[in-house]
Amino acid sequence: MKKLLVLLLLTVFLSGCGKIELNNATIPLAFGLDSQKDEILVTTQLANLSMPKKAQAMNTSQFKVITTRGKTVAEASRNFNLNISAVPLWSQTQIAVLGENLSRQDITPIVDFLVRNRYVRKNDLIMVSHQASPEEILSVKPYLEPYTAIALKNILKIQEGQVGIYPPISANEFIQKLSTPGVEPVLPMVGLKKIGDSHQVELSGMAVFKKNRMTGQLNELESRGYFLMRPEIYYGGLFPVFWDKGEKQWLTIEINSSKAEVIPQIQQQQLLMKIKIKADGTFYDQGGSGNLFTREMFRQVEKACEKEIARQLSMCIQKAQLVNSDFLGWGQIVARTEPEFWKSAGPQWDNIFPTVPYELDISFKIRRSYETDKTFVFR
Amino acid sequence: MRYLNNKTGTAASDSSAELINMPVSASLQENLDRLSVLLESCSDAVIREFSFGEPYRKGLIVFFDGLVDKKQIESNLLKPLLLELNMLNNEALQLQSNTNIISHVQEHILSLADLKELQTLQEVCHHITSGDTVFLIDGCSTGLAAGTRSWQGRPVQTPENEVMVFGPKEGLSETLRFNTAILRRRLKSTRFKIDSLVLGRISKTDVAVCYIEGIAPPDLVKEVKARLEKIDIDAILDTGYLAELIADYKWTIFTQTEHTEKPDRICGQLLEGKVCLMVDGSPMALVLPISFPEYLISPEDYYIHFIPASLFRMLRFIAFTLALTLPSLYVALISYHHEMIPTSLLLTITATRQGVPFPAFMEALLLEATFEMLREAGLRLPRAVGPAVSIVGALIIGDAAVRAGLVSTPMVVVVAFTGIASFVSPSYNAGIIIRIVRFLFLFSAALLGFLGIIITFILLLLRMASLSSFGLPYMSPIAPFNLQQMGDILVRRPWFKSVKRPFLDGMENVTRQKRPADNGR
Repeated sequence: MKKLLVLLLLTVFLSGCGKIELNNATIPLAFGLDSQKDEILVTTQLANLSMPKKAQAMNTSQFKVITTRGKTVAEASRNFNLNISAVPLWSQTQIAVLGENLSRQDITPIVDFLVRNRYVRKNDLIMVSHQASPEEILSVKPYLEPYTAIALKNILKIQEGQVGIYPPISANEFIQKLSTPGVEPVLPMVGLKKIGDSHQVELSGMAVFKKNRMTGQLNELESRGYFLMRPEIYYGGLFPVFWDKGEKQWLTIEINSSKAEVIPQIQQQQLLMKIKIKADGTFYDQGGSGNLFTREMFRQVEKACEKEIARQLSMCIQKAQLVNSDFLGWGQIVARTEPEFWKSAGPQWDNIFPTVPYELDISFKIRRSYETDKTFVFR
Repeated sequence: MRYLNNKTGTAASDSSAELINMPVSASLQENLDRLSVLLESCSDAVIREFSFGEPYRKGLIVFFDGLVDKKQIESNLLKPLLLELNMLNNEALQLQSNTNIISHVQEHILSLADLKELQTLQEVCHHITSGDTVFLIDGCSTGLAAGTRSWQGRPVQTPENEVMVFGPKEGLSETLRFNTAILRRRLKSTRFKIDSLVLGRISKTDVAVCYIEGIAPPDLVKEVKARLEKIDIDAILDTGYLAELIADYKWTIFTQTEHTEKPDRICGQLLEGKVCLMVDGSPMALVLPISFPEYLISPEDYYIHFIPASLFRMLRFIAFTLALTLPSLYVALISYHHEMIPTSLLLTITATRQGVPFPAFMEALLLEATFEMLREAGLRLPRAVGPAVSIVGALIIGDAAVRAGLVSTPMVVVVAFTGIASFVSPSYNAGIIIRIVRFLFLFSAALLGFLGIIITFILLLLRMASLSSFGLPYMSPIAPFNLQQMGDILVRRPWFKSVKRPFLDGMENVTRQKRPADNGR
């Protein structure tokens, strides 16, 4: 009994985390990291909850964006309390925005914070600002959501299934790729789009990293190529295909499932990457009036799709080789399947990667069409 | 008062204490004198003297007014003696001096169904206080007790505290004899035993120990009776007295007996080998032994189809857990573990908590205490005022407090939900346990968050697992685990599958169905 009592008292007095009453807490929904000269800038989007109900209903901003400076990320984020009278619950952040400035220079000063700080949620979606600072991005009042952070998170997640261009990448995945040899991270980029007087956020391209800094940028088509080549589960998306046989028109094809396989082949000490993509999809709609969804025609439609996919893939691979950043993870695949070869090639992978030849093997099947009726014909 | 009670008795009480142990005297005058001393200042006692028969005999009847059926005394006792005996002129019936007059009167004259011979004044007093009429004859040292008990009792009513949709609607009432009759009507077997004891020095309360011979473990019955016999108290006014006096573990809030006023529930329990105690003057019967999981079983489960019954039962277990821990979980979450709350929910909660002057724990404590007060007030208030309290409770506490910013809305929702969930438990005893333990959880959550809740939960389980009710482990069949019986705890076993009774240690006959029905699919 005495032992039990001692144990209980110990748990009372030695228990770690303190109590934070919600009354004096504030909820940061996103944080942005940027650098200016030799200082780190931490931008935080705080949910503004102290507003009366009526003001919330009106179209006024429901969040505050605060930027603080410091020599380190931790210091900058603590400096927050020099002008905010509540404890931030960092565990509630949804997204992290890295400044383009910082990313292009050097992300080393913030990596430790991302990796080891216990307040950083490892499933935060992480992105890079495009031609704007994180503060500008987070200050945007989104169309529907009250908070930019949640809007951005939802935009990323929903476009993955609806459009299928940019994969959402978590802090965890980013860190993992930074620390693994033979693979480099890419991050979706978010920029500003001017609409009238105000700005809106918009996903635009992807940032390609190499070691500790951003070295290049993927455009939309290259991003599509990357999206298809990832080993992760494919969520779907649409892509337009130009149809140049007979009546020229644009077709929309929806991809239902896609499986990418990258097989390294070594012939006479020469590495060849074979990329096999097996995808099937839906004939979604067409810009012309002739019936293309027939037994004779859809083989040719499939061919056109394969051609389009191949174009996207090679654009992506060429970009990767151009900026010499192996974000496709080829090095990792070679290391896994051809360990003998990797032993000699690994140390000089930077020199080998830009010139590795590749071969595309794409098979695309149209399985069905969700069209409700026959092709529309003008009379 | 205690000082006065402990003083040695006065002369009068001394003599009445002596008198009561005396045998019935052959002299009627002597008996009369003694009775007048014993019944001194008992304004409801009636002594009527008369003479009857040929040659005349003196006799008297004594009874307490209000406890007897006067019509029965008049027509079955006085009329045969005073009128019919003289009118019949039958030689054989006349009183002979040499015959045993008491047995003669019993056998030939009185037309009462229930007659009993008495030897001592103690017996006389016991019978008249119980509502019998005692008939004494001059020259006989034996008295006759005539069963003339009759009083105004509450008729059989629907139990108010155990409301059910299906199943019998009868409830026990205050008169022990009616209650045993209600049970006997359901178990028409001589194996259904009702042992009777008298407890209480002053109250002389009849206590019935009911069980089914051949099902109830004989050791259990013996143990119950032994514990009852050890009781030496001035009065037993309700079964609640017994529950405390005979419990295995007395210093705990975990009651080890079940109160019920539903005869069908009692019978169900008796058929599972339990023992039931009933006390004259109380509509509550005591069922024992009981294990904690059984508190969450409603008798209605056995009257409706087993699939919905099982689902309702699971719902009840969930509601029980929620009623126990919801306020503490909420307090722990919003004071310690913010990262576990989805952001949108946290935003809503935080928005409502802006400007609330109390910490979450104080808020929860105040609201819970208010709820308990409202509940207690609702119990005590007269019917006519009851709705007023609910309106005040709902409006003032719920709405005004939120508007004034004294409490936050989610907390009101949590407390109200907890209140509803705690009413789900079919047993009032379990409800009491939930209400008390909930505060314990609340304190530990405020102190240590989830860690505190888990520590309290472990201590609670340890305590519960260490208890027993008449030798039945309190947490059985969960601990010690018994798969066969678990089949009727979390879910309700279908009747065609309950071939065996839940096994009690020492039970003799565990077979419920000898030939389970095998028709149908």
